[in-house]
Amino acid sequence: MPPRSICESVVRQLWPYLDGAVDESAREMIIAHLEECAMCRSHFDFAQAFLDAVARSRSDVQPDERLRVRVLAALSTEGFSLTA
Amino acid sequence: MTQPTRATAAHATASDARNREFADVALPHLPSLARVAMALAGNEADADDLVQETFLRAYKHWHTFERGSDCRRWLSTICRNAFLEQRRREARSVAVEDQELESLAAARLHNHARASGVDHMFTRLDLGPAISAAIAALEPPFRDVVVLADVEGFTYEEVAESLSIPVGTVRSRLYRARRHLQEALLQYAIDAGFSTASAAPPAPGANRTR
Repeated sequence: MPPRSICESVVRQLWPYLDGAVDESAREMIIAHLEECAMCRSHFDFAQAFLDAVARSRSDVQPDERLRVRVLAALSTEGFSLTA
Repeated sequence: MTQPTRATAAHATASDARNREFADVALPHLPSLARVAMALAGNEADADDLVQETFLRAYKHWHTFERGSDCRRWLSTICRNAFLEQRRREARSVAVEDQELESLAAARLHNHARASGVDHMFTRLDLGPAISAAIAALEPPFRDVVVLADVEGFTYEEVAESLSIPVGTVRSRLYRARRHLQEALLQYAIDAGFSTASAAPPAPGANRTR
């Protein structure tokens, strides 16, 4: 098997790195490489922007009104009231 | 040269006895074990390795063999366990390889986005509704993992515990779900005409004429 380039080794860890799931030595190696490799850095930035966009999309998911009514109805049987 | 001490002589005798017993009781089952290993491994090279591993383990743990019990059965159990352990090890390394390939796929997708003029898609466009739609379109096992991890911010371990699946499965599903989402969103951005590359480049000096 041909030796992997440092870029490939780093990019293979893209998702675990962005999730904070690589060990300390791998993390340091990746940070050092990203500081000097603009191409790899752009891949990581793009993926991070994707994750940020997905996290932001939470506010687009409006709670289903029907579900809200049902929860409130159940809560009311326990004495909960919105008009306190 | 010194004479061997009584202790080493006794040790040698015990060791000889053990070897003789192993040769008499265990080794005759080699042909039978070879058939078992072949049935498990499915090919001769792996089966031979498995037989070797079985007899190595059997020899190492010979003191645990219950004298007078069915040695062929004992060896078969060792063989089966060795096979299952090996298969689990291989499955783990395949899973890690798959996860790393998903990371590489993310870099390729970025190259594709750049070539299509939409590499700004996640920072400059409001993709919220498109992201929600893309998540809703995922198969449930992938959707659940991505919602818990990437939308709600659970750790791998928390997702694994919540869904009663191994952490490795969480990673595999999550990374694959991200690839599906990115592919769907890239297509959406291109179809919606967000590409900066597709717009005709302004004529030289165009900005100055107005």
